[in-house]
Amino acid sequence: MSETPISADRRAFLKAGSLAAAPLAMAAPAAALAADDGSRAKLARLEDERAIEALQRKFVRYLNGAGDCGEVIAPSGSVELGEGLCTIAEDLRHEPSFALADDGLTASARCACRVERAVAFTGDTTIERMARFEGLGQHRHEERAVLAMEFIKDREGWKIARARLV
Amino acid sequence: MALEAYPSVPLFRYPYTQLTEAQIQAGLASAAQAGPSSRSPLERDLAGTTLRIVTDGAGTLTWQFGEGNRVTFEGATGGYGALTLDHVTLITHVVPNSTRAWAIAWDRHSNLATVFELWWGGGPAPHTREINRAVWHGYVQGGDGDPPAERHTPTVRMEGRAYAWTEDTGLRTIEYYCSYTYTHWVELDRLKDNRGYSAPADYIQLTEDLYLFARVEAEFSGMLQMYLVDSNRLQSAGVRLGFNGADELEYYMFRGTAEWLGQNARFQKLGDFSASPIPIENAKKGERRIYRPVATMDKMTPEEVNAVVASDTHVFDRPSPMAGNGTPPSGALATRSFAVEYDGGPRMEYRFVSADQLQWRKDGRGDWRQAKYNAWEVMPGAFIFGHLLQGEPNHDCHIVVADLDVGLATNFHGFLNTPYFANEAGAETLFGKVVGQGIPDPGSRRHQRTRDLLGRAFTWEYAPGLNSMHLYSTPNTTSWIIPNAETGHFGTEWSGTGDFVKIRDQLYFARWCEEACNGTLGTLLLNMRTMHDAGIGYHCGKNGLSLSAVGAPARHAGKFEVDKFFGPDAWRTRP
Repeated sequence: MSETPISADRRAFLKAGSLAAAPLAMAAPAAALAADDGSRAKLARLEDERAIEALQRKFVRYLNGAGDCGEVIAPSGSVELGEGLCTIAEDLRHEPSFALADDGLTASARCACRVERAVAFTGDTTIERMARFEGLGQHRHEERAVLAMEFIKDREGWKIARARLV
Repeated sequence: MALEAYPSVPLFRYPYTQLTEAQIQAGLASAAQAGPSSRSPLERDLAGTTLRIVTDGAGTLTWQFGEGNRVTFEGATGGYGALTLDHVTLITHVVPNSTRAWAIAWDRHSNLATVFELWWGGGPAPHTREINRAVWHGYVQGGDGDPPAERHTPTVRMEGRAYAWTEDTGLRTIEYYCSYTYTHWVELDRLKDNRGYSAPADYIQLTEDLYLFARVEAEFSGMLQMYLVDSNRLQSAGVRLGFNGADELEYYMFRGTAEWLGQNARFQKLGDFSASPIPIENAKKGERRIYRPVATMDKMTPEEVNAVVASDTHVFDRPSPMAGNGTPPSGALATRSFAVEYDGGPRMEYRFVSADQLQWRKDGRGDWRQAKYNAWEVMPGAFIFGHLLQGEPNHDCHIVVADLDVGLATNFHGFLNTPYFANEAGAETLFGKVVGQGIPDPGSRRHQRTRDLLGRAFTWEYAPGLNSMHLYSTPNTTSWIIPNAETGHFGTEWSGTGDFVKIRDQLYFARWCEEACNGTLGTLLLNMRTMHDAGIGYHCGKNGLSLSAVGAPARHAGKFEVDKFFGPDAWRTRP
């Protein structure tokens, strides 16, 4: 699959896109469709962009307990986020990246995140036994990771094909 | 076996008698009347004094001191002993016709006092012979002034120190204060095996330079060793109370002098001097966290071990909590072949067929056997690798460090079916040479045991929330201390047999055996240049037999100079 980066800077792209999208959307039915000068494709890509960004936000909200992630995962999709994930939040100090395939049917995105995990010490190693003995049955810690996501578009719209923390 | 006051076997192997309260009361009877003995003169200046101590938690306690060494407490009169260190007096007595005793540290300048209430039986200790203690802080009532708001307090200030004590009895003890709730001590005279042991401890700060220390030798004799410490003058005044391995009462006071051995790093956040132990919900009086590993250890028969090995063996096939911060295994041995010839041991031939599969043959006999292995190249040319020897009756493992640059190898040979618990790992250390194409022949040279690690302490950050510190306290002891991951307070401590081999400068192969404590053989190859290790754990329990990775970044917490306390053969161990 070849992917053409729309922008290395999704936030910049979306910011610019939203400015452009408002007049475009208002004008689209008459001007863009009639002229078919590529505006339809641009509009479609913008809509895809927005749909994916919303999907990503929803996924992160759901991971934080707001809903069932299964709703946004493709039937054949996979999620590999490691054990004990408690919370996840985008790290806004880093720019995310986004790429939409030429055919408009797949996309990928990466964003830096702060992840909080709780690891339960349930094993029979001495160090786990002693940690439990010390009253530390689990440990919560924050780590930095990159949420790497792949998206697929089907008749129902965009879904998450794969999400993993790397 | 015959009773021994100070056993000739490791204390964790000694069958201490389960004394009853009646036996203990009978054993205390004469001491309650006579008071403690002492080589140093006991003090008598309390005669005519009534000491009324207002405590936080135990009310007001009153002692009336009479002529000689007589003291009356709660209507019962017996004998007491007292020794003063600078301006703090330690007083102790056993309550007649009871299994109770008291020890008081009275600061005559501030009139602050700390009282140790002591008793046998009734818990929380599960063994009646193990002395219980409750610690009460307060002040001596007197005069018309307002009562002091200050109190003696638990402290972290002693954590990380070590002293070599010599009592007026002539007995010498190295005491490592590695934790704020535990201690690690090495008896150099009464015990003959050069081992260190770990026990719960109290550390009370009395003044800037005076402390009150107490350890209870829980899980062993159950005796109390308590002393005042003058950290500037390096002096002590203390009391030993309890029943030794021969079930004889020891009740004596002593003075001691110390050699300051050093101060290891503490790992609390800077500015954190808090020292209150982690609370226990609905705790009984005197209850604290005392590690009793033999009680929770899986204890299996040889038949059970055989069955679990057949059904549930895991060799580097699942994540190891001891290697969350470990380095990835190396594939650099793949396609190599060599043999390791051990002095007084087997000749092991190896074909490393891939990054994690090898074939081995022992002493040139039988078919080659396939085994999964993992290897780590901890310093260029120096590898640690390990594998099981499937089919061996004791389910042996070989954990080998091979220095291919010089042709030397050392093997911590692990095995099960020790005489104590079938699933407990035993170990022996084999030295040898590597024979193979392009590998130098070292001739008669071998890796050597080392004391470079003796007295050193390292922290190990295995995985988030799972950290420990090793203290290599004697030539044959590894001690480990577990911190609170959030605060850095090092707490519970235990220890077992260790062995230490120098591979290269700043590269050491070490092991610890968790005897009567989970039964694991732990090994590590420590690179002090990178301050990281790679190692292998060998464990059998009801969840199966496993070889698993060990690996963590290290911090060097310090080094105590203790080499002179141990003879040349101090590494020798008796199981």
